Amino acid sequence: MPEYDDPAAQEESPVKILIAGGFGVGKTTLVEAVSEIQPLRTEERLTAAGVGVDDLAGIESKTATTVAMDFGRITLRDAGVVLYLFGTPGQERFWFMWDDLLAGALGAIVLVDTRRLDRSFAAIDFFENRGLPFIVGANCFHGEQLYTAEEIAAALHLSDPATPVLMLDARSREDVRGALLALLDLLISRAGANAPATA
Amino acid sequence: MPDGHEPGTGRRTRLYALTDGRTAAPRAALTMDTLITATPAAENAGGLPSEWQAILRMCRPPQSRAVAEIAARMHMRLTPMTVLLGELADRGLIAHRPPLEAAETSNVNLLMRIRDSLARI
Repeated sequence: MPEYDDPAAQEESPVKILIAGGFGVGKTTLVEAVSEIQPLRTEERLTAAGVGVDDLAGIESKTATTVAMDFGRITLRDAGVVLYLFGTPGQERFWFMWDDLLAGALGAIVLVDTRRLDRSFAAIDFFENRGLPFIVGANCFHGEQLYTAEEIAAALHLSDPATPVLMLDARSREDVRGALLALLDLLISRAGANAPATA
Repeated sequence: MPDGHEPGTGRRTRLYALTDGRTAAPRAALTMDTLITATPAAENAGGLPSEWQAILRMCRPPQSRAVAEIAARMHMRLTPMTVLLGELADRGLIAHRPPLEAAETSNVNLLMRIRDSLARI
């Protein structure tokens, strides 16, 4: 390998955290609150050939769709990583075909709007089925939240009742940082429980 | 050239021109979050297509960018961009760093370093 002037800058590894939730719940707003770049949009064309889709009604092209996701980045030089925050695409039925989406992901934040909780069920089911650790962030639009964290957790039927549920304002850098820290705390406690010998 | 397949983009990318005719998946396993950095060889390479040069410029060390970021900035979809970057990798113009594997992402020490760094942003 060639020599570089700044070896430290060359050694950062990419990691990612997924930001999931229904359309209009504030995923891109959340990414923007902490990203060091303006959120970018990337697109991918996914083909559903050979996949059992139970509801073909209303799908103009039943074999393929274009999914889009907005993302941002946070360079954490001291940790040696570049953290990418990927907002998951809205077409949940295609997520399971997209292996890159989950590969290498640390965990996820599921953003919910308590006025439309049903829009977050697909994301929660998906992460629970795939075993990806996640926390729930209840976006408090206009600073209002009518429900307690316990009520939201119960309404979401979380399979792990210890899943953290946080109140946050997706526009607030401080709140979003707090949600990321809560996710890391969850990941640390799980990793510690799975590997006590290395502690 | 509107054909309705590229909503949101003003122009249609001539993929075959950009990838130098290559359509098969490259050897290097590039994913959306693989980090790309231009190599010193890229500095001296002449006669490259302008799109290649644009990519190499945005990945010039110490800057590195994820595949998804390059795709977004070049207004290309992920898969064509992966093919194009595979070509650049084969020619030694870029180096790539894969995302951490599952064993590493559940490493307590790494997670604690990430947490400490995030607490300071």
